[in-house]
Amino acid sequence: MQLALDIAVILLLALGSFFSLTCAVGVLRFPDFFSRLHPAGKNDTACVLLFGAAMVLESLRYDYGYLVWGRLLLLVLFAMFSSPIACHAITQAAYLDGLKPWQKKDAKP
Amino acid sequence: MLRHFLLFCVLLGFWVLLSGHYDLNSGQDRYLFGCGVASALLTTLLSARVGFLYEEGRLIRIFLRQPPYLLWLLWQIVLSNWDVAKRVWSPTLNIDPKLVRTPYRMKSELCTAIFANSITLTPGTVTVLIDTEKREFLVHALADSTAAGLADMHDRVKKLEGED
Repeated sequence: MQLALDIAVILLLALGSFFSLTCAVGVLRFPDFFSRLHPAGKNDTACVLLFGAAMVLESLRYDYGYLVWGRLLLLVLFAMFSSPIACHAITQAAYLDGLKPWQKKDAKP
Repeated sequence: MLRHFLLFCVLLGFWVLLSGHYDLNSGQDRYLFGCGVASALLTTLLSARVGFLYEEGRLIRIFLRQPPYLLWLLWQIVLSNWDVAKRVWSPTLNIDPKLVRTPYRMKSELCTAIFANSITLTPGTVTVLIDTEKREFLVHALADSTAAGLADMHDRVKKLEGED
């Protein structure tokens, strides 16, 4: 049982780290502001979800009770609600400011 | 009245979860719990006075229909995260960003917000602008395929709201 829990926690953490790294690489590789926000604003959500799940499982191992995992769930829920709103606010500001999104035909041959 | 009571319960539950003081046998906890009840009550009264408990449609019904939708959304997040991760790591950087217009036909502002949030939450699409006159969202999509699921998502959010 302990071993299964260990493996689950490690898998979730590894997957979360992978998405976190993907997010960073995506920000570096994508061509313009709008497309960069895709990995930055959202792969991030997956990352928080996975880390949150890992921490909930880890807290079950110790006898912390529902106060700890309840707070962790709330944390993940708030991250899920607030990060898209922030992302939308930034894109809207950029669009209204007249920034034109990069298109494939702009790419250098 | 039911709405006020529910809001009060949710606020008190939130307070208990964050503070952890609900052991009514100790004097200190009794005092702190009383403070929690008082602050939840005050918040309920204030929000009733501001009136935002009345502006939205069938809140309770929408929230009861939420869990299956959330599960579906979680699955979509997983799928599309995988999709974006593949694009990020592909050597050719397989993206073709487009601005897409997608209409929305929700009656309540809450469901419109849920839809806009869901679009942004699933990677590959970001809500850029909300056009309230034409009732359209301007969505920035990483590729054509990522924008394909928008109509389906719209119908699912519309179902949350119900027909009447």
